[in-house]
Amino acid sequence: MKIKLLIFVLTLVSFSSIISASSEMTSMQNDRAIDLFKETRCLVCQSQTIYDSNSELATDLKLFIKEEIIAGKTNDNIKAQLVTNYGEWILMTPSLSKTNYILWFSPLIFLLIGIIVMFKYIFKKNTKENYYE
Amino acid sequence: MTIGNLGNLLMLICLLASLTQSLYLLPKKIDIDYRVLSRAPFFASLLAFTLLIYIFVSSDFNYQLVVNNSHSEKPVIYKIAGAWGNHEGSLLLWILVLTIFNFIFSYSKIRPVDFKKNVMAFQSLMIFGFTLFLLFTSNPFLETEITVNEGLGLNPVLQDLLLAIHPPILYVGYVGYSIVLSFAVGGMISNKIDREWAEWLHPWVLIAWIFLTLGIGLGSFWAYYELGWGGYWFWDPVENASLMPWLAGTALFHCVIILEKKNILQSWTILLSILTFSLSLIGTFLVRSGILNSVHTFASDPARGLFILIFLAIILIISFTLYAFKGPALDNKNEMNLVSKESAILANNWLLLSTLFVVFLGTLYPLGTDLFLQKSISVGPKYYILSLLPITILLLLTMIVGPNAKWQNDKILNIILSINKLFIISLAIIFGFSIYFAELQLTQITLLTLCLTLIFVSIKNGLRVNHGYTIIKSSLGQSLAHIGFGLLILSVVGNATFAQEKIFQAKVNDTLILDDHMFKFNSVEQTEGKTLMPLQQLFI
Repeated sequence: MKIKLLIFVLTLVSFSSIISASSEMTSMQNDRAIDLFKETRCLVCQSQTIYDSNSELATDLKLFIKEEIIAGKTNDNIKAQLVTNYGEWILMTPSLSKTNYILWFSPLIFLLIGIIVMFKYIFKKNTKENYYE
Repeated sequence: MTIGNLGNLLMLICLLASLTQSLYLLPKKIDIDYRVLSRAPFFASLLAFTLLIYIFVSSDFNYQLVVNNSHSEKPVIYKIAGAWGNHEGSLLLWILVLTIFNFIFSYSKIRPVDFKKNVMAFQSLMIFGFTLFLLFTSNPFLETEITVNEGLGLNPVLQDLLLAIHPPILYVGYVGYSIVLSFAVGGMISNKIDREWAEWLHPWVLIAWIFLTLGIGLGSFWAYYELGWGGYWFWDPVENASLMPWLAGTALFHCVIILEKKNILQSWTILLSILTFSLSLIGTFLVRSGILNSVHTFASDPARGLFILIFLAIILIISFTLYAFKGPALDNKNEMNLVSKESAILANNWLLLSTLFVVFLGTLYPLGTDLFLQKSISVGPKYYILSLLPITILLLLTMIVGPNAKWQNDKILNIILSINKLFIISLAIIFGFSIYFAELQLTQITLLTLCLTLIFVSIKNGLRVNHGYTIIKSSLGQSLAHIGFGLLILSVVGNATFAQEKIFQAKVNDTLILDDHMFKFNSVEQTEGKTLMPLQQLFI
């Protein structure tokens, strides 16, 4: 046996996996679809969005999103639907809800604390000098 | 004696020698010959690593690791790379790098000898810990229980030349910060945290930083052409794990410069040294424990994760206990003025740490909600982009101002005068671009203008205009690094703004049109690769 590994690597996105609905979408709908694909986690993959994935589930989700877009649903509608079906984990960006306040706001607080401490450090040098002398 | 036995024996030598060397840390000094003890682990692990490569190259399927990660018909280069393309082998590589640093350091002319010995003793303690880890949980020389004739192969996506050299380079970066931590610990024990100390530390921090940068860059480049359509950074937990020590290390590097020049911020430098290597360890823990959901995690095993956590805890306890006793007395009196190079560097330090904070939080927050609220969330690119945007703008600003400010004391007006022309030119270019080519939003204009200014200012700082242009050697590294950062943000923003994507369904001979470009789907071909049979889609 010359080649024992018979693994097919799709060097490019598998075109066959993308369903025919795309031809019916306007370019604006197409952009929306891509945005949503990038916002949707592929649940069976490791840390990938359905945009990057060619798994069966990703293909199904892409089809679902496209159909919803063509049916005239808004992005928020579609996201809400995804969350009801699969839980918040499916969205790549955490919502601005109570549980996520720490996530969204603490970096700002961290930054501010640093700025305050730095200013104190610079302006209080006289007292510090006394302390060390 | 089989190769495996020899390998184990070598690692045992490494274990015992490093343990003996680390005894120097004990209060009651035992005077030992550091030359032999600090160099023996290097030769032992180098030989063990060579043996490991040998069993991979000779496809010796008596060893479990070779069976799991190699294949007799792989090209030699991937057989070699297979040796570290797995948990056990990469851990041996990790130990080898730890010992390399100790080995090189043992030849340095640093005095007092007591300080030097303390540094090597602490480094040996880490070598000891990791060798223990290797021997008890992840022995690369484990023999198979049944006879196997063929290996399972290496994941085809990983069979790539860049990826073969990516781990060793990344490891030199990651592990390079171990010697930095040893410097901090040794310096605290010997009460030697001063200008001279910073001067000695400087090259080590720089080497680790260069390799870590290169390692991350290679990984990113690989992701670009192998993983997805033009994706170069996915904010994947494992990518973040490498970014965190990079950010802390960058802050540390700048801080060491202040200490070298002004002899201030001793305790802050120590803290950053501890932080940087701790983050290297946390990164390792995240990757190897399988605790995070990522494309890169390999060898998920809770026992291994636990070991790294215990190890990290020991390192932190030792460093912080020392710091608690010695830290407050380390600082010299502060003479920093608000408008000065050192204050700009300090501000930059904090911005880097804020970036680090965002990355850390984004990586670990989902873990927290999962554990404590039983709620799974995903933190994707958008979170990072939104949170990092204000920090990046401030970071660019300080990078423009900092290098143009004088040490000690400067006037705001002088700084503005030295950069205003370049800023106006940049603004004009971006405005012109926005009017004639593509309309840009305010944030994009801000970011792009600052990037361009940074690039111009850095070029100016790297050149001296006399008769013609001369390159200023002392600031060349700084200029290049800052130009690189400016280009990086410029391309990131450019890519985010101007990339176009369209989804098509195409059969062979279909033609797709995107703006002025035409793509023709020519054929699907099966190419005869040496190890793979890739299905190639050809376009014109």
